[in-house]
Amino acid sequence: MRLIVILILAAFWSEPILAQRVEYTLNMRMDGRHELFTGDSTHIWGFIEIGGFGSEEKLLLPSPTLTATVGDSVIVKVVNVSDEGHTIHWHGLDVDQENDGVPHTSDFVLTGDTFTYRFKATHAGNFIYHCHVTTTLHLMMGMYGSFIVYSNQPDEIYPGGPRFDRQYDFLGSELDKALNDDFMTGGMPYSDEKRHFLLNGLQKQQLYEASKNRIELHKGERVLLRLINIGFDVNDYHFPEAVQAIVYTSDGRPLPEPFETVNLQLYPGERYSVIIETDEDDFKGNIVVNYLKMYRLQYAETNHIGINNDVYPVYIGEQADSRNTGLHIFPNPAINRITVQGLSQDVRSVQVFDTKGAQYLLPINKAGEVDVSRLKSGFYLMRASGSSSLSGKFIKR
Amino acid sequence: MRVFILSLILFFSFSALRSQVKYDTAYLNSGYLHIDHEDIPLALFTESSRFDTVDRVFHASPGETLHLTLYNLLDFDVEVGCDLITETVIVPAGGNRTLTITTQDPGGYGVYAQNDELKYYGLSTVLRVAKENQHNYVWNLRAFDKEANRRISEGNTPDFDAFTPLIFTLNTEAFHVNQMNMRGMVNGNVNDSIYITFAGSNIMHHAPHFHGYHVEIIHSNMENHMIGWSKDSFPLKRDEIITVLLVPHQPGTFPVHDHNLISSTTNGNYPGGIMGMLHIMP
Ligand SMILES: [Cu+2]
Ligand SMILES: [Cu+2]
Repeated sequence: MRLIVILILAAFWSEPILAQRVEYTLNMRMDGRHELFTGDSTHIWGFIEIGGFGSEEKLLLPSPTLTATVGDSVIVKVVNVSDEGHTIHWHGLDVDQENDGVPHTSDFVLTGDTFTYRFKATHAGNFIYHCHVTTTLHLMMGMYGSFIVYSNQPDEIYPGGPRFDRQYDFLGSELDKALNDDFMTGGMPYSDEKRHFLLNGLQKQQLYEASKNRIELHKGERVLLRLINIGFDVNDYHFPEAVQAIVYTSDGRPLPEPFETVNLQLYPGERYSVIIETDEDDFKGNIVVNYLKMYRLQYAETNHIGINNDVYPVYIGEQADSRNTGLHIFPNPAINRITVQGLSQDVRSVQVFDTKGAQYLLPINKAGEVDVSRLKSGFYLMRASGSSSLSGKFIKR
Repeated sequence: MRVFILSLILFFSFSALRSQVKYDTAYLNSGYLHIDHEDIPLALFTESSRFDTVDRVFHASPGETLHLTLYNLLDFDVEVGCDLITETVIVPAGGNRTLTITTQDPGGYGVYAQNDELKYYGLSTVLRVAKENQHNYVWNLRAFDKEANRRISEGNTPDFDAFTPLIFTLNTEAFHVNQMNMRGMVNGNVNDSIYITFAGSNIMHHAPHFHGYHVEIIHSNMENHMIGWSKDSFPLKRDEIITVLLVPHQPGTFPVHDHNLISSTTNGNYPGGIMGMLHIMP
């Protein structure tokens, strides 16, 4: 009898008492549609949670955020119900080779097969899961999502780390509509004019207006931003002046020394935890996120995240991407002076925004001329003051 | 006895002196890189006067002075410099010059043509300053747009505004599943200290990503606020040379690849391009 008790105790002791198991079952699918900010939609692939609470029938972009608590044993069963083989790579979770999701060194989940990934969530922080089969294609098609490992205390970044009142996660990526529409002939994601620059699968107004992506931040509060980049470009974050941003962790590890910054760049695959605060009573503003191409080192596009703000900073030039507003700016690039056509005579000034979100109000004369000689060289967006429907882009040399 | 002590002192001071100076040579050489049924013209620092596509990497111990004699086999003069010194030498076509580099701290430093086009074209390599008995690997990452290389080989200026690279290399080899890049292999054991120096030696930025492990960023030839950070993915900027320390906690075979996934393709085919492999034994 005593022996049995000892055996039972030993069996329990072999598992640390605090360690939990978190289990997911995901279907791998290739039959999704995703709506773009232009109103068009395109074809996506992805992972979808089945059997769990809140499971969705429709594939989403990105795939659902998976979570665990530090120390948890994670068990993810995948069922491939699509026509091609896939895997999951647990980016940054340092899992063993068997569970690493690389076809030529680990496994390959073929059509109709199931596979169970097992690993331990050893560190709190922000991670990514994504398919590692023909990654250029399968990732562009949408087979990625965030994997967040919480600390034991729900309001701290990592065990013993700084505390926060609220949290948001932003996953940066891109999508090439031509490729997603027809992945057999769509080609390489180099065709910039066809690319969409996404945060949490959304872009521009679509991103801005989704309430879950709008940050609520009040004086005295600490808001945690979990920033993740799984795209091909650099995500270049600029925080508003009245916001203090302190960076605490990167790639699921506390930094040796947290630091304050106004600008944070995430290269492909990188993740950060940033706490933002403000001293202003009724602060309203935007975080500006630029996308920078790595092969030509060029600016590509901008997204905005509203903080206590629900008025999308409409640069009509952005809408001109899809709907031509008829505003014409020349010469472009400009050196000292530009002429703007398409504005009514009563417009006396134009608002100009640089890619970091700085704004300038510049007078415009009756001939439609604007002096831009004092602007630094770079890319600018312009809109007519008081108008939400007329805008354009120009480059200052 | 006194003579013996004197000669002993002389012997040690000479050997101490000798250990502080090192001589090395390399050739500025041109040829072709054969990748994916294509011939891409380029120029490299090579070991001998016979062209091969292996980058000549230089090594020195911390504090050592390296006298590096460069023989220019190209038909034009090339100005060469190093991150560690402000002076440069112009190596005349058909001639040679010696670059004297005094090293100090461990790390990876660039040795390269001062002309951006030639640097892009391949005349860019690494001086690894490290203690001799370390596990050191140097991975030179490049992105080639064959049109740009063709123009440079013909003496014309490439259009870098239209730069669209399709060939990506690690130590001038592209990864292939059936014929792995032997120059991108790391062999070690759990708990070893393995140093890998990444050089972003031509025009692109890169984003190396480690499967299986986090690494500590221990040195950069540029201002880099990530020194001391533990990372699995990190920026490698144009011209930057970053040394990381990997101390594997687990055995296994894991890739290390550019997470700007364009760069882990060859002519659009994945996997390819910039991908190395870690083979860690228990
Ligand atoms: Cu896949
Ligand atoms: Cu990844």
